Amino acid sequence: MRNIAVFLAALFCLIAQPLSADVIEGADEQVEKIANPVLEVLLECLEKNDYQKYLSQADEAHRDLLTRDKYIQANTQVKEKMGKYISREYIGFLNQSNMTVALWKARFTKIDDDVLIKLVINRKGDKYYAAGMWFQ
Amino acid sequence: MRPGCGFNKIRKGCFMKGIVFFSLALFCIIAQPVFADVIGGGDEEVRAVAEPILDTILEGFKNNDYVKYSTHLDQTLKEAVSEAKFAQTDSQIESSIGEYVSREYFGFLDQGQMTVVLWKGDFDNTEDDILIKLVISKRDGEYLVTGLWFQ
Repeated sequence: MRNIAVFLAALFCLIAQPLSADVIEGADEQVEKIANPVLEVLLECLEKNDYQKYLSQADEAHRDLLTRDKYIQANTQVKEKMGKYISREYIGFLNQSNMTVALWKARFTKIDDDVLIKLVINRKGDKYYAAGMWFQ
Repeated sequence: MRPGCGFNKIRKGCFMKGIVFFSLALFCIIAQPVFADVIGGGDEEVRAVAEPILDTILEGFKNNDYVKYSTHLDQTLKEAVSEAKFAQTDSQIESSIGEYVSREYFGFLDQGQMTVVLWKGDFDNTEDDILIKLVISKRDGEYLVTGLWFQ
């Protein structure tokens, strides 16, 4: 392991602590159906360095913590270390502290290793937001 | 919102009770073996190796049995986690997330020359699911643990 991801995770690992949140109800199929589009947008934003679009997927607390400069810096480092995102395979999910943590095994262009993507999602009403993301 | 978890407490980290990152730090020692390999090519092969190893580790924790716990640890990890440290960590895990109840296999990743195996774990003192990560490599025909996380 090239220790990339733990370092990078620190930059993305801004866990918002929502005052009110809830898990995604249901089993793997339901969680994957909800989490995949959120992750898809975040990865697209990573590719295009699109801070505004990234914010649209983030919950309020997460948005407050992740400034544009921090976002750009983290993105740059991810691309330098891991390269471009190629593909992913959904692994499963956990429920932790009123939020859902969805997991994928992913591939990037610059490293041979599998990368674990962890996306923390919380539900507010009928909308789903990212509260944190890790690459490990 | 969980009772007792007001805004300030949440900000300070009700999330996962802060348990596991602390506990992890004691076990999160990734040895970097020079000649090592992953443990298998597919889920069946990986599980055949990893499940019994994890069982042994969890049994070691349950019975506070350092010898059992350290059966499959590589030398670097054994030296890093003394019996005293093991007992301390065991006690902390028990007081925060409780005793191991059950698990569900998630899958594995190949990272470096090692396999990172993942499970969803259930412990009796928390409502949260716990991510168990076990890092194993194959060296000279032997399967050795180089890292363990409860997240």
